[in-house]
Amino acid sequence: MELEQKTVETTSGAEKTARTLEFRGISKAFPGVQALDNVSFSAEGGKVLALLGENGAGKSTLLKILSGDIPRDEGEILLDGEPLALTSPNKAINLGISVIYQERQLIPSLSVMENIFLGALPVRSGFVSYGQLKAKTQELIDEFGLPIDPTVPVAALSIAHQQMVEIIKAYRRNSPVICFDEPTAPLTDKEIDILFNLIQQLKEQGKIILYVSHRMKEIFQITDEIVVLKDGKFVTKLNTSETNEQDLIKAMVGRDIGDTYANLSRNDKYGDVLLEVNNLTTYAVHDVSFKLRKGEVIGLAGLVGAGRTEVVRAIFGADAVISGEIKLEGQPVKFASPRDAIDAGIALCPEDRKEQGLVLWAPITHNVSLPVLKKLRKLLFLDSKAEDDLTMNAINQYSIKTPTLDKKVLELSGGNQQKVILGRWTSKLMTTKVLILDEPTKGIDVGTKAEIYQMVCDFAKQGIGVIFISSELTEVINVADTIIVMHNGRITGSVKREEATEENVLALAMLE
Amino acid sequence: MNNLTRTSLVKRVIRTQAFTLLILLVAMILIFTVLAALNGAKFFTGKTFVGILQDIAVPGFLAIGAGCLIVSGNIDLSQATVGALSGIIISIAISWWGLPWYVAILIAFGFAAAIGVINAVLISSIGMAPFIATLAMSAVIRALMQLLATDANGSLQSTITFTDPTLTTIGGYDIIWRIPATVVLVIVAFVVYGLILKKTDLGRSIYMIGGNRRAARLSGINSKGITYFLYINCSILGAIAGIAYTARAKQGGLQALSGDQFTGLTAAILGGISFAGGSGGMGGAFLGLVVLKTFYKGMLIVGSSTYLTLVLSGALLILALSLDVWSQRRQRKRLGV
Amino acid sequence: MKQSLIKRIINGKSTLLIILILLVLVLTYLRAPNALTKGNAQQVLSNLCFYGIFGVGVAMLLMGGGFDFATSAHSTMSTLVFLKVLQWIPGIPWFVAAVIAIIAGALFGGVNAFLAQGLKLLPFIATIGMSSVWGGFARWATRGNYVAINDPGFSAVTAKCIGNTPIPWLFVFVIAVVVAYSIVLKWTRFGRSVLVVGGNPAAARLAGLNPGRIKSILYINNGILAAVGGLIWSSQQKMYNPTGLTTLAPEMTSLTAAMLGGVSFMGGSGSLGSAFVGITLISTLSYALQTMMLPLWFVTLINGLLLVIALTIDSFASKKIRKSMATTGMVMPGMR
Repeated sequence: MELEQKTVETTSGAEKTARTLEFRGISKAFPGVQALDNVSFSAEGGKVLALLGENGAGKSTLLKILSGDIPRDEGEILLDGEPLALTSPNKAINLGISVIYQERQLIPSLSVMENIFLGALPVRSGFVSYGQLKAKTQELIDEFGLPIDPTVPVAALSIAHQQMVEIIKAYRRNSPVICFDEPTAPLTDKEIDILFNLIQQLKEQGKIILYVSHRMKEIFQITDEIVVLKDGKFVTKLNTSETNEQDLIKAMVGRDIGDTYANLSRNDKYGDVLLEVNNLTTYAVHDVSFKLRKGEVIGLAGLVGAGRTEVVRAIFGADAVISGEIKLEGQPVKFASPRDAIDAGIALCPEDRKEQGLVLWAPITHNVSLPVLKKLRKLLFLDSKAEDDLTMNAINQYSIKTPTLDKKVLELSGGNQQKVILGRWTSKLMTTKVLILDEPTKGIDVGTKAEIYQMVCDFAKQGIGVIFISSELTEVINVADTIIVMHNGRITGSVKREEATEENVLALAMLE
Repeated sequence: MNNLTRTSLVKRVIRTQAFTLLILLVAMILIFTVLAALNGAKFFTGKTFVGILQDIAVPGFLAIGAGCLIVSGNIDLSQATVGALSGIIISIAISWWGLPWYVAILIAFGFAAAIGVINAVLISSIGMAPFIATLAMSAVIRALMQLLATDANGSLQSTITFTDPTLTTIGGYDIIWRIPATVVLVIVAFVVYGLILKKTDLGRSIYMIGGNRRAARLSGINSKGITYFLYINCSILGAIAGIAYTARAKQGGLQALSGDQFTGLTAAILGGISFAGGSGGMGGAFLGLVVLKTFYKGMLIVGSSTYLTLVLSGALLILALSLDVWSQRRQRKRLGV
Repeated sequence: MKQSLIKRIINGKSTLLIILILLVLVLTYLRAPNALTKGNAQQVLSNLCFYGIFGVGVAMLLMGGGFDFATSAHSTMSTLVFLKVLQWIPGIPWFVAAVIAIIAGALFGGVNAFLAQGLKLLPFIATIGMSSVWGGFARWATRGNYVAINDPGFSAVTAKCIGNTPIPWLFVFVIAVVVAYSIVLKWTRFGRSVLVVGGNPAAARLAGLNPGRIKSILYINNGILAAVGGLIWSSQQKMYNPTGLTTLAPEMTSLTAAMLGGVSFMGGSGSLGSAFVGITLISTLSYALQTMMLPLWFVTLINGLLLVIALTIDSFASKKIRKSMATTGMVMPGMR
């Protein structure tokens, strides 16, 4: 009952005047990084506004603040001129803000209909009305034209359908403001069409729509206006029809990115085959084969969930190999654990620095010496002098900014944290032959990114074989010598840098 | 080339929870001295401090085992039960089966190690929550104790006495002023384990697993192997505590060590070994234990009952937990996270 | 497409448990043919009255992703409050004292809610600490002694049976409570949010629920039901026993039973009906073991092993669910 009333209110409101959502001077700092710095812009009802920026530009932080998930340090958010008190997610929802998150927020054991009406189950005289719940859910599902049974548990659905449930969940709230955070990542083309039709409908209803995505094609297809953020600052607001891809990239990066890549001093001499993967199959990838030569940089491209990370985890001995063969310098190898892989000369910088890469509460020294503890042993005890030397080398080699050797890694900025991990794998006690970098530039400022690209080329010059994984297409196709594209756990193609364009790589990545 | 150093020693010492505890200890001694004087009793005597040392011997072993586990982000609630089991085992091995004392101890260690392995399997291999898995195990161990302590006539003996001159001499041997030899042993153990934790690659690995298990594994630390080692180690130390207790008491009992069930745990947390894993050390755990036992002793001298001691031990556990959470929050604030 | 009722019953966890209960009864009959008497049946049902009430609180809390180690201490403390009220205010009707004791139970539960949700201490360890605090206090209050509670009205509540049957009237009340809580869990917004909070607190928060408040209510509810359970127990025993329940550790039995009935230790799933069937299985089993005169160690071992088995099944089930949500960044909440 309540829900229907709300619907009436919002639609009648939309008929009067276009609604506005205004961000006024929003700032937010995290340790070591100013995530948002005095960001101001406004969004209008009946239009789709794209939030564009590189990883770490502040888009997610802005969404988190809007959804009441984290508090802002400064500034105001106003809906139709009224300041919003976004103190908790509950408040934000009641104030009319719905967010569809990148990470699905579903309860696996509950049914589809309960997940969709999470926190707002229809009740009749105090009791949940499952009949109404099912009917309403069915109505919504039909609107989307999806073959989903409202009564099955969410855990039984495919990943794409789980994502659609997440979208329906936010859609049914009928809020005046709807935010999409990379909604299409796990969806197929057909499902994307359904979603875009829906966004079109929402637009016609006069809703304010914020749309975050990295895919240029989508941005030109669905949005009306574009706000560009860079390093937490507002850069510009453009009309989608009056701009083009090159200008947008320029605005995002702050300068012509062509230069960064053109200035890289690359390695052009490859050696023998270093790593050979034949028909590798694990729980997530199928029949993957490729060869990496000494001094070569291979880029692994593909959408989120395409299986790139799973391939390197299997090579590194972190995931079980079901079938297939891995050869290192011609010798077949089987790694039971990352330890074996490290001893053989393979190193992995994992995709999530904080969750998998670093021991955040431990000092820099401990993080650098982590894989070589046994080699640091002198008689019984660790040689702390040698450990300090090792760390000092890393600090100097990669110009890590820190006042003391034993500063907690937590206190460093993202770029410096990434350098600590690089320092760990390239110390003089390591004999790294294959270096795997999984999203090494995620959440790192542009300056440091350029440094890291050069480091990748330098590693190649030293004869190391590098596997470089990135979700940023421009980055992979410009840094890597060979780009291997994955889709749904399989390799769909391989392109040389000279021939690679965003279009042909994306086409392989989105292959049906 | 610039050269950086580590943070100065003084700064590092002041920042530890052990330093806070030291101040707390001194304050406590002062307060109890005054309180006792007001009640017409005496706290600041040699007898008191010898008493505190006597009380430390058994739970000291427990605190070491529990401390190492908590550093790695694990916990073992079955440790004290393993201690009681070991007491029963050596008592029956000597008095019912007529085995020599060293064989008895070996059997006890064997059982303890097996229990440690089972704990590790449940937690590390099957993936159960450590709390509940070890708690369930302690029920199984209790069953084993009851089975073993059933005599030939089928009646359950709650205590089993034994006579073995060597063992009781070792257990009851006082070095000087009634300070038992086991106290020296436990202090040596604290030092050895402290060195292992802070100075060896094994110790460092334990801290890193506690700090971030996944990162440690991806950096080549054998986290599964070390988890197994730590659970076995914890069990064996529980057994040592049980044997030390039994050797001095000259009997094993179903209820042995029940008073110290959570002492090791409380001491470790109180000493700054955080449940968040990856911090604290043996020095802190030792101080935590001393603070704990000084507090109990003080309360007894001031005139508290054994029931009240039970109340206090619970309250102290909660206090230790609160301190842990509070110091984490303070650190977070200092670092601005 | 809904499954047919028959299929659901066959597939349900309860069915297996009911078969096990029947198996226990048959085995008991084979070993001790004289054991299936009316008196024994009444004993089992009386036991079930206590465990039923007590177990509902534990199971509800578990579904919300919490556990309270001090539950049996709350029972004892509430009984102590009941006893003291009767002693201090002569002539006070027992049910008034009982209401006061139940309010006290709510407060005890509230203390743990504060420790776990307010101070954000580790619930497992903090409630162990509280069980020691209340356990010590409960003994100190009577210097460790039993105190008889001679109130005929109070004792009659648990003793009266329906006509000539071995079924206590109280059992009807217990069933009503289980049904009432099942209805709350299945048919109210609050009940549904319990499972949401237990299954994924972060998602619950982002969906606009208040996980802290819901969990606190569950801790308080656990305290209330522990108090009712404690009163039932002391009415059956006709005394205040400061250590009886602590030794029995009914929260562990309830935990095992709830998990056998499909409530996950990770929270977020299960039903009270099957948890109750689980409790029935365990109390029947333990009484059967008693009547068969099996040694104590065997009974202890069965209890411990049942918990280990329930945990193992649960671990594997959770792993399976995690896999089905793979690569979604879905976080399964742990107790840590």
